[in-house]
Amino acid sequence: MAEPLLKEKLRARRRAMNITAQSDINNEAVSSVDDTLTQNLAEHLEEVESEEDGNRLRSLMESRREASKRKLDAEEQEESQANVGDSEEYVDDILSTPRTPLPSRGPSRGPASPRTDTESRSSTPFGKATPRSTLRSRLQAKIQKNKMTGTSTSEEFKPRTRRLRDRMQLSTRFDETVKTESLIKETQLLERIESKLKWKQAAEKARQETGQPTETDCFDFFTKQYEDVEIVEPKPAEPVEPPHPPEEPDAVAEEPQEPSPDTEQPDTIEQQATETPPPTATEGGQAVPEQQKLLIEDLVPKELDYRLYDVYAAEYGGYQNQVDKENLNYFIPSMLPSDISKKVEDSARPRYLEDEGFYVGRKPEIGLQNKNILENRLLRQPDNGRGWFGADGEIEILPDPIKQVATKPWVEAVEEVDPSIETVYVKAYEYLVEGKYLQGSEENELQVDIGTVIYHHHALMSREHVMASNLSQCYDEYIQKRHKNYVNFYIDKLAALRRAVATILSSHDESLSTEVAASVRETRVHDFMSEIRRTSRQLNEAESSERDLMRRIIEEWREIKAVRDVQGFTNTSLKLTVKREEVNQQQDMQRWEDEVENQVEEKRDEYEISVIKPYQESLRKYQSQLQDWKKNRAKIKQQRKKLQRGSKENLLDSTNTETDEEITIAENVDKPQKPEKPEAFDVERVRVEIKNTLLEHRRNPGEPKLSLELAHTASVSTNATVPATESMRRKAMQKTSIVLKLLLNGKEVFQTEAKNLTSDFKLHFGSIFRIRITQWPESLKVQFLEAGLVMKTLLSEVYLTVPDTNVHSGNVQLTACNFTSERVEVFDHEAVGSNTPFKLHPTDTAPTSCNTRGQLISSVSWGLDENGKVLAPKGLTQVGADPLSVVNPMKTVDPVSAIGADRIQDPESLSKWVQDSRLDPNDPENAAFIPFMSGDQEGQGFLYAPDYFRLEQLQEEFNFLSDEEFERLNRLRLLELRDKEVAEFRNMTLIPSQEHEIMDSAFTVYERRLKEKKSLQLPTDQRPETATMSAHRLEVLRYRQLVKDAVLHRFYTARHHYTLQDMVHEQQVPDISTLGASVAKAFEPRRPLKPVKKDRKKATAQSLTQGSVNILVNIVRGYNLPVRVATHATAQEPTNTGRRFGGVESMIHLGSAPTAKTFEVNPFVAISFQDQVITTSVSEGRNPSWNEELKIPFAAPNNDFSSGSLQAVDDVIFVHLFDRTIEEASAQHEDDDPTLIVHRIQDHWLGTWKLPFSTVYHQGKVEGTFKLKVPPVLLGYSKDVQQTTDPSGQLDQQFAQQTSGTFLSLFITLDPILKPAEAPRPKFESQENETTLKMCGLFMEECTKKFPNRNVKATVVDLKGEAVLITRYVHPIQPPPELTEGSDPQSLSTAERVARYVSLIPFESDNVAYAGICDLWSTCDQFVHMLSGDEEEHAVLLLNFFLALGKKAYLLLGNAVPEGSTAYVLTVNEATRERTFWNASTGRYYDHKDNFSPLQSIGALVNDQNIWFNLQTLEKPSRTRFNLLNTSDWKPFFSSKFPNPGTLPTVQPDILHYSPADRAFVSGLTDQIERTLKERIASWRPRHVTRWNRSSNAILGQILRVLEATAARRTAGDSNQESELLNQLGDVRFTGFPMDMPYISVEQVVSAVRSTEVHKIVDPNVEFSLAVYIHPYPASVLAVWVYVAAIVNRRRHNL
Amino acid sequence: MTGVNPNPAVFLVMANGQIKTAEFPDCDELYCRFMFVHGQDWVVTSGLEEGISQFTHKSHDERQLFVWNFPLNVTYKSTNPYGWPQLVISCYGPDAFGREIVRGYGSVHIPITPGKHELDIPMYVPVSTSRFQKFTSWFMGRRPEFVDPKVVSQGEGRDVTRVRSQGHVKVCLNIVTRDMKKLGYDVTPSDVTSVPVGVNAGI
Repeated sequence: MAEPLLKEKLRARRRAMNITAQSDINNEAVSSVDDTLTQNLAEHLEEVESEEDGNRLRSLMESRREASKRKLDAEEQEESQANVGDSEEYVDDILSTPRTPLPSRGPSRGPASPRTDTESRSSTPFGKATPRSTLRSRLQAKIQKNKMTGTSTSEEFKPRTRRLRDRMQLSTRFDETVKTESLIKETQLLERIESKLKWKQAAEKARQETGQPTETDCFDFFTKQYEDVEIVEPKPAEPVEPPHPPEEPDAVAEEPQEPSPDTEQPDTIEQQATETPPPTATEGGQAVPEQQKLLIEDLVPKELDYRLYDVYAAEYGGYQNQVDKENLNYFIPSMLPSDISKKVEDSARPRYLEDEGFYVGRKPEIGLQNKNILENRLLRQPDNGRGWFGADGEIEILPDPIKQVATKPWVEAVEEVDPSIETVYVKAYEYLVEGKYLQGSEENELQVDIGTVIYHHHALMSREHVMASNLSQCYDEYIQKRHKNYVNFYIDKLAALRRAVATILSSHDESLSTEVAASVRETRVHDFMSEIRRTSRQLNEAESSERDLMRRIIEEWREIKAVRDVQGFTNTSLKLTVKREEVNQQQDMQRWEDEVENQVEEKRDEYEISVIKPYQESLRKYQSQLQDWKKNRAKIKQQRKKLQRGSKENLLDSTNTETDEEITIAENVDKPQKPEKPEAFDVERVRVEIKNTLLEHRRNPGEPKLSLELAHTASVSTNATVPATESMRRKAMQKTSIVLKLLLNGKEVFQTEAKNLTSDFKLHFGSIFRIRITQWPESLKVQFLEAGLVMKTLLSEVYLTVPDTNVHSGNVQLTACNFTSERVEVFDHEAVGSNTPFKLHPTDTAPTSCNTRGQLISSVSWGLDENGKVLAPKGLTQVGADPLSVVNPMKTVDPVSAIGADRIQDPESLSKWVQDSRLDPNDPENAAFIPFMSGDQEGQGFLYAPDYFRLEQLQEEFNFLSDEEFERLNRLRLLELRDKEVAEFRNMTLIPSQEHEIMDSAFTVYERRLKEKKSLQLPTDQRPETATMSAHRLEVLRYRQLVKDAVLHRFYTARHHYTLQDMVHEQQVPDISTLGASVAKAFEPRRPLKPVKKDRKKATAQSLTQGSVNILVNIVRGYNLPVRVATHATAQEPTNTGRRFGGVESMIHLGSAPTAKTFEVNPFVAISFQDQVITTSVSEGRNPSWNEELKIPFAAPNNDFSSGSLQAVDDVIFVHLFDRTIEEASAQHEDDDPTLIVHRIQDHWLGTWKLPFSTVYHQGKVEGTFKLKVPPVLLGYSKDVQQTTDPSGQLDQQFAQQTSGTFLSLFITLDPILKPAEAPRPKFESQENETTLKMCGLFMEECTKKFPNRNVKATVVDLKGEAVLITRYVHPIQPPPELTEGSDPQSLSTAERVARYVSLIPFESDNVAYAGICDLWSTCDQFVHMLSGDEEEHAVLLLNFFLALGKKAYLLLGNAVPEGSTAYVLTVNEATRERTFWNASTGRYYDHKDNFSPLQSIGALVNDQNIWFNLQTLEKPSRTRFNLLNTSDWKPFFSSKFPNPGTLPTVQPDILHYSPADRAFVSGLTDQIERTLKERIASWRPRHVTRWNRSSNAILGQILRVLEATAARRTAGDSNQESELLNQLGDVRFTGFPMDMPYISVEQVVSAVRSTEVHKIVDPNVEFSLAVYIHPYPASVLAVWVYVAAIVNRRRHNL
Repeated sequence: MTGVNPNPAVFLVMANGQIKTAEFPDCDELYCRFMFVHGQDWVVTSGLEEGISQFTHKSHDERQLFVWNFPLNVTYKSTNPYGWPQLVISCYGPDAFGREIVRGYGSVHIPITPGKHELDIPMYVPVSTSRFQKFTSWFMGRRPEFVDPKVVSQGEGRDVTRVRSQGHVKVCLNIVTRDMKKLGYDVTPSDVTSVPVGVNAGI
């Protein structure tokens, strides 16, 4: 079975060889031996292909063996031929093997040979049988010939290796070499060449097609060891052969050094090289037919044939060859360092910049080998790597940009470092520097005596300990003071001084000495006196401080005692004893008095010296001055006299003027002031003062001398007697032990043994360590490790100073050094912890906080040897004196080791160090010190690094316009506004490219809006137009604007915050149910019996263009329409009937008998939307049926169909019902042709129903039967049901009786359905607590899982955008008192009134108000304040009013027909079991049994206590059970599992403040509306004259008043309205109706009036009448009534 | 052609070319959608803004190319280079189960200089958020996709996505502009009279 496979393989190989042969032809270097080899191999392969399998194999074997031999002969001729004889037979065998297959060639050449079969299968390019056979024979012949003739094979073969083309040109080459070749052969050869070329092309083509023998295949052929060949070889096809040879040839091909082929080779080589008899023998020896021989002869293969079969055997070049070749092509960079001279530029000497004083920086570390390899590689580059090497011959590497040490800004206050930014100092690791080692001394010994550790505070201290520690510290201080005994010292000193003064003074008395001596004495006394004063002050201070200290100690002690009392046990052994030393009262008093007297004397003296003496001095001075002055004065007087005498001369005499001036000057000199006499020395006052100070500062006379003594004698309570927390603390304390570790130069030297904490928090180590050092002791650090149960924690570290050399163990004294730890430790037992606040005394208001701190009492000294020699290093003495001594080179680099860690924070010493250490300013590592370097050399120094950072500091340069210019450019402004998504500009396209193309008008709308906005901010009185705005209204608008801005802004930012869901549409992880559903889907019936409605595909925004979206309105039918009645006028004027047939009867109601009381109607429906009106056809009867589909194009704002802009569409679809009457127009001219009948079509408005576009948009479709809003008075129409007899009429009646009102059935949808915006993510911030929110989520999840379409909310979003539990909105609020007063709060009429009030607050959908962002719930005060809201706000307000009225009411969340998901109010009357749904936004109410109520489903009920979700399968209100306690019907939110905490405060205010109605404003507004309407109606009728019937205006106004009263109370009927009115008007034909609406703006009123189309009456005789009435309710809620009527007065027109 | 307007209000950019080939290593069939995304100041005056190509199979040679040679031809009118049009390409092809999945998104600004441009657009797809989702998306044949292919032409919101690169698409575009210089937008160096063929790497 392996044979076909094998065949394929061989074929492939052959092809591969072919290719290589062809490619190698070019290579002249190929030896001729190779040539023959390939030739032979090809030959054999050819055979193989044509032969039977076994033969083929054998021949292959042979060819291979041969090939290897021949190749080897060149190389290994000199090899030993020892075993030639042995193998001779074998060789013969091998050589003879080809003979056996040869006979089989004969049949194979036949046309029907099996070969053709294989060929066809293989579809090789050699497919053609004949040329191949001839060629083969030619080849053989050629070989023969070659071997016969060519003795010098090498010469002959050489030309063969030339290029094919060359050879073709060199057709004469054969003549050169083989002279015997005939011309015929030449021509044959040429033919062969051609065929050959064709072959080649074909082969080439085939190879390209199949793509099989690629280069890799060729390569594989020569290199890869094919196992399959070996597998095949052991076939028993050659029984002659010895068992191992089959492997050998193969092996030979690969590994020629094997011994067995070696032995064979010499033979074959000889044979081939000399006379090559074996081939001839094979050819000749075989019984080849004559003709065949001839053919072979004929087709002696020329070189071309060789070419075709130029096949190489696997070539082995020898290892050395390989290495040589590799050397030629490969380059292995050496790992050894490269020659430096190659790397430097032409100057052979490298420069070392660092030696020249430049800053070089530290290069990052690279492995030396890698660097060398890199360098060597670079040196191999064509340019020898110039540019890669620096001047020093090193490769240029940028310095390491990574800072080695993390840096942090310095924090000022060490005490209050926030633990999160606490800096941990880590000692820098240093490189070993030679100078660190001490020269040649091994005898340097440091002695470190670790004495005691005293904790002043420890985390495990109890409160008592803390106090005790304070106490003992105070006591220490006290003892110190006592020890120094300042008081006695000062007392003695004072006494001595006084004595000295006394002696001086007494000596003065005795000997009256000279002036000089007196002055000397004076000064001495003076000195003494001041000394006395100072000493006395010092004494005061010393004594008072001592007394203070004592007082403090006693206070502390008292506290300790108190604490001990409170806690009931003792923790410390402290005990304070106060010793009292009684003094002799009298003596003491005496001494005190003396002291006072002394001091008084001293004061007096001082007074004398300091006050009296200067006074006397100045007095003396004054007297002398006075004398001078007097003298002067006399002189002046004299001169003046002189002057008066000889004034004339003096005028001429210039010199006299001078004197004159002199005089005047002298005159001006003031009389000297007499110095004030100082106050006399008040002895009594001074004495009192002195006494006071003495009393204050010194021991009072007679007071016993006190001394304190602190003893550790108190007994600490045993563990058994203390409470649990304290014993825990003690246990923790016992477990804690402290270990001290000494580190010299950052290396641990020793460690003390662990000491357990004791209750006095003193640890005595008392261990002395000797350290032999060989390095400079740079730092000596003690680490405090606290060993807990598990691990040791580093508490603190303290540096010990390395002593001077003269400090040795003999003279060293223990010193204390403080340590502190900022580790935060908090315990839950009695211990106070560390660095954590605690209250020391229970009464403390502010907690205190202590860090663990304490003292280490230790000493460091140099050791002494036996001879008393100090074992200190030599050069150390200078250290300390000069921080920058040359002794320690590290000190110039490391500021910490130079000036110490504590001083590094001192900028002065640091800058001094920086200057002294001469840091390299170019070294980036020193960047931090640069500011210090420039300290005192300004100007020439370095720039002070600014400690601020400026963003976009180059921005200035890029501003090509100044900001003012920028603002003036309209185009840029436009672009900017658009970028900010300002509403007016958001979707603006193609902003003109030129500034001048932009009109200023582009901004008018925007600017107007800005102005409006700004004017809202203005105070009311500055406002220009206040006609339509009351103060409260303004307030409302302002507030609404504020809220809107805030909400919009919040959601705008939220909208630009994307989540993954916004960006990537990814399938959610399926849970079991969805997986199950998807599995179940597979088993669904293909065509289910009850198909489920599939949603229509929603259109995406981008595929929509203007006009592609329509609103489809299918109007099915109407019910219970009002019918025309014969007007009052006609009834009153029966005389007219006679003329009726004359064609002048004013009203002819088609389809109605004139005698009938009522007339039918001809109703049609008009849909108006976005200024487009489309009507149905006219139908008939009071229950008409249209079944018409109307299509109204929808225009998106700015042609933007994105959901964002669609949401904001606030257009309303109006469905108007009209009655079309056709009347005969009154003939204008009597002389007209009487046969001409002119009809006038007139439409009478019967009612309207409106639907906001947003509802359709959000719901996709609106379907159902809706009650039309019909004006309360419809003149000429009657809503009364006429008794009819026909069955359908009865049915209608039944229907009509159940429901009062007119209904329309319709279906509204969009085509195509627009994709509504997805609700913003429901996650909002919330003030609710976590569990509530979680429960809300759970509740919602469960509810929506059960009934996904039911409307239920647990939390709602308030105006702040926070989620609030919905029950918080429910809270009773008193309605305005005007509504309730004078009536029973429980009565229905009160409820109606309240409902009407609520419904009069304008309705505005949140979607519109807040650009469709979400449903926001405002609280009632916000709602009333803003005067706008949607269903929820109305419902909540109404509910809260009802609750205040004492009704039992709930908020009902459900779905209603026009508005979708909505909120109603449910009131329950327990007595009558009546349940009423109130639509708060319309004020209507429905009984729960009413089938036609718009409420379609009840989702949930809410009151202030709970939320109930409707679990009943039927959601229709009429089918719902209202027993809220039944948990299978209603699922409560707060259940027994999660009870209502009861403390949920409401978000509603307790009281609403209703501003009283502003009458003046209302009357103004009424006027304005009336005026506006009149103007508008006139302008709507441009072709007709609009006359106003003023007389009827008043009547209409009256009617409106009545209507408002009825609407508000619904008490009085409206039956007699009409007649009353008409009676007053007289004989008129009247069309018109009153409308009421909540007041929003004048424009709203106008558009409502316009929609009634009263103005379209074109009767020339028509007169219009208009009345406006506004009923003001509290809090600026206004009910606007408009009565528009068209009146045709028949009498006047003589009808 | 009417006379040359000396004071043009708009400039025109015309892009002709084709989506030539794509290289996607691990899929066999592919088609692509292209769309031009442009700013508000741009209007397509002629040509197709969006299109969808034929299905193409991978070539059998070693180049493994998907060849579309799908022509693009669009002419823009604009007043403002802000919002310069971008070519957004998204590729789709069946996965191992024959379900059509997205194979790559990519975008490139159409070149601003006139001349012939060879653009190489790298393509990428969003990756699943978790291993499990990766498995389910593979299993269900619903790989994560961008909500709108146009997001690849915007920077907003990209920070929340993670993508993996898939292959690249070669697009050749010839750009002709008109009146740009008159409006002050000089995109060609003044000393270059003939624009050399630019080979732009994808952006």
